[in-house]
Amino acid sequence: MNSIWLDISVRTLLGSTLVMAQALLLNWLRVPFAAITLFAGIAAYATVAQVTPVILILVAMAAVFLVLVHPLPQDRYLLLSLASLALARSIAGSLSGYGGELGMASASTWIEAQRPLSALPYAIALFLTAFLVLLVLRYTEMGLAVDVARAGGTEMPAASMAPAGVLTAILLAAATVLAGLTGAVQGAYTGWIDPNLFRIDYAITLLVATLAIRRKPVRGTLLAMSFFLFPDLFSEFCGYDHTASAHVREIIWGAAIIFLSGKTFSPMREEA
Amino acid sequence: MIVDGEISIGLVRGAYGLPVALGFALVARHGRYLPLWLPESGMIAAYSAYFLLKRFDVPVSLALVLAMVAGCACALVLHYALFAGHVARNEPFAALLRGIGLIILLDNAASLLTGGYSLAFSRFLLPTNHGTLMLGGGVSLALILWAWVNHTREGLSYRSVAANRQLATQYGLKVARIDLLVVLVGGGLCSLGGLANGLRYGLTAEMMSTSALKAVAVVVAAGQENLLAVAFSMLAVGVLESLCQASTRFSAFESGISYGVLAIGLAIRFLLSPLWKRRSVCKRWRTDTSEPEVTE
Repeated sequence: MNSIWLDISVRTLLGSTLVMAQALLLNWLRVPFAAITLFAGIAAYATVAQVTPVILILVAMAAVFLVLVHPLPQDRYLLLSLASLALARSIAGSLSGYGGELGMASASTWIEAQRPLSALPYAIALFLTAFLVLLVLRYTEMGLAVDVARAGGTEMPAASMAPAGVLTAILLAAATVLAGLTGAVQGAYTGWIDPNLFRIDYAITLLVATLAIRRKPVRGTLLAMSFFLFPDLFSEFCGYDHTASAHVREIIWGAAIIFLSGKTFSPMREEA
Repeated sequence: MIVDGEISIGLVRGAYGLPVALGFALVARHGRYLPLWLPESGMIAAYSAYFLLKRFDVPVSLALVLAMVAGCACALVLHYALFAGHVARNEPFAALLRGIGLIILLDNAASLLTGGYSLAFSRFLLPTNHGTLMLGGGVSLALILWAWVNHTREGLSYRSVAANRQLATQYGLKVARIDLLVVLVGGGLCSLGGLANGLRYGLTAEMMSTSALKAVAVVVAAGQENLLAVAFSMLAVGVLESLCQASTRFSAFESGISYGVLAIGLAIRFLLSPLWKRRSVCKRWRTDTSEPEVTE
């Protein structure tokens, strides 16, 4: 029983960390990035590959996404971020050295596979770090600069008042580090890595959660946690079979995106 | 010899995606956004045809016509309920996000209704020359649409609204009528694509998701303004996928072809092309300034 709750806690903390990392870009800077699981998935492969090449790949991917922020229109950027997941899945599936389509067992000297107690300290540390970053953005001058940079996307006078490029680079780097470390912990904890780490439907689930938390550090963090906790709590207390009712859950996610996208990303409505 | 076979299989494969890609390009240019949701009207048409045939025992031709009507009606309702506002306010990003949400909602609703099982039309078979028919029909459709958009009075109105909606309204063009016509034609093409795909490959809730992604990839890569280039690119993607499938070494990349085309298309259109233009402008400027000034 304790082990189940610990497992739920670890998964909730890691999922929430990914959502908060994605929110740094999507909610704070309006960079339409929806592939935080790409960084997490690549880092998960570090548990079976050498660490240095994985870090180099992560840095290269982050650099590519940074370079493309300005030239690409927002909708194209979002599509590219989702397409990169599908491409990563195809590439991972063709790597026979890493198990191909079936995947392979991961190994770590720090975290034992399927032992929640060994992963919990890392999950808590990552979660608190992500929460701290959100608090920094809410209560410091840097956060104010980020707000001005975001406004600069639509208003010319604001664009000259904050270094949008530097702030984007800083937040993208923070998101990459957070997602990378979370992915590595996830990979070691689950004990298995395969191309399903780059599933688009998981990225969509995280996108819904990211849209839902908006720019509220405390309320947003609680919301992100409840997002991952809700299905497990229901299955534990009410006997709700969350695999059988997956379609209902996905329908709710879809409706949430339809509602939230109109509310959050329509500049005219936001001004009103 | 094997390559020849794969090319012809790939052409047929691409031809089945042609109506969806053409409808997608038409609506994308008109609304200045990527209507990722539009191919779902094809899924609705295919499922409607299946239920009309299975449950209500409607004659085949009538069922197909009613299914087309259902697909078009669905496209119209969804456009006016969810996307018309974004088109009027020019908000492509919000519209794309809504489109993704709508796809998730519709696909899962279809899965819920059918218990997650795939369905198949059992009452009639495709003719043996269905590939040739589809290829010929698809290419003819592309030519007709190209001629309609580029060489008719209606097409001129369509291009004017697509280029500048506000200016077109001020000049007295019937924008609402063009909106209705474009969504109707786009929805109709996607419904046709959905029915063709359903007849050949069977019905699944995600049956149009792949077509939608391929359509996005070719429209972004070839440009929504050029319908013939969109049609050609769709056929090329079909051939590439077929060749990948035939090769044991690259078979894992078959599903990644359209995403690769999307990424390369974006890189060419938004990174390399502007850089190339800037370079040629700089070159021209340098040659202009190096010429001696002519004084009277």
